[in-house]
Amino acid sequence: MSFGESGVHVIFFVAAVVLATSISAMLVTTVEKVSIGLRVQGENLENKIGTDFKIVNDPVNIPVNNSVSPPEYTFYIKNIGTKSILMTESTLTVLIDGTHISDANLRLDPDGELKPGYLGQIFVRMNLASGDHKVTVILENGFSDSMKFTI
Amino acid sequence: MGFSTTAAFAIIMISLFVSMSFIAGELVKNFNDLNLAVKRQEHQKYKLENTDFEISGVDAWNTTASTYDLSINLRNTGAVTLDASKFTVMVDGISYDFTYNRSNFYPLEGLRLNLTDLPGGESSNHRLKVVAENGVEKYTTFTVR
Repeated sequence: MSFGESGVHVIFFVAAVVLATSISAMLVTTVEKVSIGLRVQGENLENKIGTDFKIVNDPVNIPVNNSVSPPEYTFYIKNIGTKSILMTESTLTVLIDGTHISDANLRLDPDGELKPGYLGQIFVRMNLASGDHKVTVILENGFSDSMKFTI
Repeated sequence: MGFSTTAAFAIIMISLFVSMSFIAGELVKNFNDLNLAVKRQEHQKYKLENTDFEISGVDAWNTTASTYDLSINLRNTGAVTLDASKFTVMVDGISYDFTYNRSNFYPLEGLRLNLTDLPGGESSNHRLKVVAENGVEKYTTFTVR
């Protein structure tokens, strides 16, 4: 008993369909990954374009609370972009004179979303000598602003 | 044999078509979103370039020996309507809450901001900073009467 011509055709047909389906599955999976990547990149770019903020303190009058040790300085940031800014200790980086302020010495208000047009407060606990200093605030998407101030 | 090749070719072409549709749909959505974001940014830039205001008057008067009330008159000298609730007022570097006489600050119109119970005695001098919603800021000084 041997395969007839039609049996060989069926085997070829099944093999061709299985091969084509495998190639298609790989193609669809790859394209799906590319699509997800495109979406994420697009959202990131959109966020970057819409993000803008400014440190709006009066540079010669930085509010300070001397009743705690070390003293607590207040920096005001205003959201002047079109997107909300995520203000949390893990998404915001604060540098004073180039030194990173640790989470333990940082307090935020609001601790969450800062809507466009609104004012947020960053409370930094550290000892600062009299004279000129520089504060830099960096958001999670890398957008930053700096301000020179005097104590 | 010929039918197998045709079937395999058809399956691959269909999956290719579906995949390209996915990518095209995602690209179109991304381009639309980015286009919208760029337009919003251009609008913000236009607003920033055309925003200007001046502090046309400041009046501060003692209400107790150690506190005073403050009235700030602004004049919109730009071409953009500003939101009064999104102004920031700082006296001596500290931000205070305030009330306002109108919500929309139209071009060539005035806006009055009122602050109460600020710390300071008679004849004391203070620095005032007013910041608009898009970061345009003005400074002045005043003396409590």
